Amino acid sequence: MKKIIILCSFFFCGIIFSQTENEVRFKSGVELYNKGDYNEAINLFVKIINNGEHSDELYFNLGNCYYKLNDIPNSIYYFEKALKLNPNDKDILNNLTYSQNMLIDKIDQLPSNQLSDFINYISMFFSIKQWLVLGIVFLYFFLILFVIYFFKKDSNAKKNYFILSSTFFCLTIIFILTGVTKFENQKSNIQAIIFEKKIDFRTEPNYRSEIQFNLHEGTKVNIIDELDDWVSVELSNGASGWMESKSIKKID
Amino acid sequence: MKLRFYIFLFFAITIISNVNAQDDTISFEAVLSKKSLGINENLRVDFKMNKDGDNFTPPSFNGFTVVGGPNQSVSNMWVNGKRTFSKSYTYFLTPIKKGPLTIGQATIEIDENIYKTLPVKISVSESVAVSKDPNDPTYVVNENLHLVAEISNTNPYLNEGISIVYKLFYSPQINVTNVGEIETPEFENFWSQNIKIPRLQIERGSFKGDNYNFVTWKKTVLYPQKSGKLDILPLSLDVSVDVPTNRRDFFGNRIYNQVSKKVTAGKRSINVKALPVNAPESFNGAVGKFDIKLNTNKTELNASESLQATVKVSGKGNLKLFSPPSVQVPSSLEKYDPEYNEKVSTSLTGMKGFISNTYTLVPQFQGKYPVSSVEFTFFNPQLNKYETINSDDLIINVLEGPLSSDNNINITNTQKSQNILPSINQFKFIKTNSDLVKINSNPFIYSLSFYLILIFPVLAILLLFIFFKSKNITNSKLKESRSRRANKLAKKYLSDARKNLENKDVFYIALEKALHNFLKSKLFIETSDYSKEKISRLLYSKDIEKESLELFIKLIENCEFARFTPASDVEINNDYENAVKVITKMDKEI
Repeated sequence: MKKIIILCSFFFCGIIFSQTENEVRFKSGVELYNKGDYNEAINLFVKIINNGEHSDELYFNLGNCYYKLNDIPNSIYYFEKALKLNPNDKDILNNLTYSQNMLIDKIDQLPSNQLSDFINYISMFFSIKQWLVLGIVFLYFFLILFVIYFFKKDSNAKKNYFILSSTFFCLTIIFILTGVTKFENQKSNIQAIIFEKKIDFRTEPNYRSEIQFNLHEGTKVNIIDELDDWVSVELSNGASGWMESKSIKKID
Repeated sequence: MKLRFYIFLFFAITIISNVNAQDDTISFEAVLSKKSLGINENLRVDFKMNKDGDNFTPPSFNGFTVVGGPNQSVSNMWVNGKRTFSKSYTYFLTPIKKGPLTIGQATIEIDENIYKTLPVKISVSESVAVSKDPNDPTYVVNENLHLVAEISNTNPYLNEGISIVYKLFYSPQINVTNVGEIETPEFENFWSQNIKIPRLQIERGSFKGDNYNFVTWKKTVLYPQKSGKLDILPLSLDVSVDVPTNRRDFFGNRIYNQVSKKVTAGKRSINVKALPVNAPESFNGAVGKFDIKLNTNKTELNASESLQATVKVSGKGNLKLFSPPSVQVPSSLEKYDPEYNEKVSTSLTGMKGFISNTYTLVPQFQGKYPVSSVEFTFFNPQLNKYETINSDDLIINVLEGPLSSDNNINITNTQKSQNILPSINQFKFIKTNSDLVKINSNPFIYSLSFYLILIFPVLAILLLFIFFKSKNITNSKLKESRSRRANKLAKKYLSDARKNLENKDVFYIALEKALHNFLKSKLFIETSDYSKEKISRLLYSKDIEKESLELFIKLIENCEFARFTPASDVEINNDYENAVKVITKMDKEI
């Protein structure tokens, strides 16, 4: 019994210690960045990720380090990862624009319809988890209000509580659905960054097929399908084709 | 006197006309150097006339090839006051086939008359062994005059430069007086460039072990454009040579014989090797040894200023036959078409120098722009392999300007409002603080906790409802049974009261009990707390007609009073009637 307690306390201490260790790494990484030692800063930041912890700030800092080292694909990759955790951060969007200015490929955006634009715009406000938590909070509100409604004897108050609780119920459903659709979208819409200097964009997943055009490092693509060592990707201008999966890195 | 003059005039005219008549015998003839010849010998044909004419048409030399001519020569001589005119067209012919051949008629127009030569027959026999007579000038020339084509490499790679040099060797015994080119080779399937020889120079060299003089007649650099066996057509020269004879002139000097000779550098073929097939992607046909440089005239500038980026390929090889590799820049840099520049000098060893493309770049937005290194592959024929070289990477720093087209508006807005530092669009510093969280591989959505959190409260509340509902049901059941019993009791006491209409005390007690039990069954009032005020308040809240309410209260009062005061039968009957009326009425109303 005593042994177990000691073991447990060690384990607990270990968790606390490792947490602080990662924070120390983060701090010293920031210092190294400020001194201009970007490679060492990257080492420290990556160690934190390998230790099983992350945050949008961490990815943002990694993106900055790689930008300073002129590593376009890595900087875009980490900025996109940071955006995934925190989709509306002004700093991330700002620095991502800097990285994107270094891209060789320029891909036009397909004109999208306004409704889906609007829905996208709304769903961008929060992350999936935030949407779900919001939905759950509203669900609790709804339940409380509903109980109040149920036990209220006064018919006038009952009416008000009913209206209030039903609006909360609707909002709950909307929020949770937004979260779920966003999650499903992201699951079916895996994005990746090209890491090779120059990549052939082929019509079929083999070397015999025709090369449609070339893409260059740092360009973001959407993965539609996978077959052996090949992935079918779509560009933002609607063009699609196959490329080798070894030359891209998925943003997950 | 007059007669004499006429006679003189007559003689004079006859003499002159005689002279004229003698001069006027026009001759136009074909003169051949020989009537029979070997197939390997040359034939010289002169068409001679003694008066100048127009529209000379040579015959078609069927069975011959014209190796030289037509050479025109005119001579005008005055000997003892006599004029001798002669003009000739000279052709040098080589027979193609053996057997009898005919040289056809040549025509010329002299003084509006057309004159023709006679056709001449010639027999062409087997090739004649060149006479070994050292006194024969043709033999001497054959032995002492050679045209040689020197090819630097007969087995080059495709696009590898080779040189061909034509040298005319002649031994010091003879003198070359004139050289003319008859046939110039066309270098088909080659990219060729002649190297100009400013002045023919006689040099000394050896040819087949003997000392010779030589003249470098022609130098050409060739780049084969096709693989396989390529032929180079021969170069033919017509050389006039002075050959010394054994005769000597009056002063003891040798007399020279002038001989014309056609020399040909034999047909040569070059075997061009194709390049190896495993060419890297960036290979664009460059063969040789090159170096590549990429540079810009500035590395820091503001947006919408321009800079020049130059890709320069320098070295040795087929520089003019390919273009420098293109520069790749981010799409947000505006790139204009390049300006081509070359400085290539061609020597026998090939082309040397540089070619370059200069691009004008205009950045639109601020930031860093990498000009990615230019890859260039060439085939090195010395090492027999492809070599790929890369230029250095370049970074262009654009210091000021909009960040992107969207932010353009932002900047102008801020500038309008106030001259704030344009720091809005700086590259942001990293974040110094962070709340690190565990990377959870399982997303929150669809997780067990998600479902639990979602469903648990709903379940809890449902359970709560069920609990309350069941409690309510038992409550109401209790109430119902109670009220039913009270109702029954009310009816029972009422019937008791009816039975005891005569007995006043018993009647009123029964009536009071009936009323109270009625209230109990309808208003759930416990027996303990009767008071008129409470009953009236309760009944009032139940929205009962005032009339029946008052009646009810009155009845209760009557019951209380009746205990202490005497009552008539009429009153008792009246009270009973009222009680029945009120109870039925209130039963409906509640």
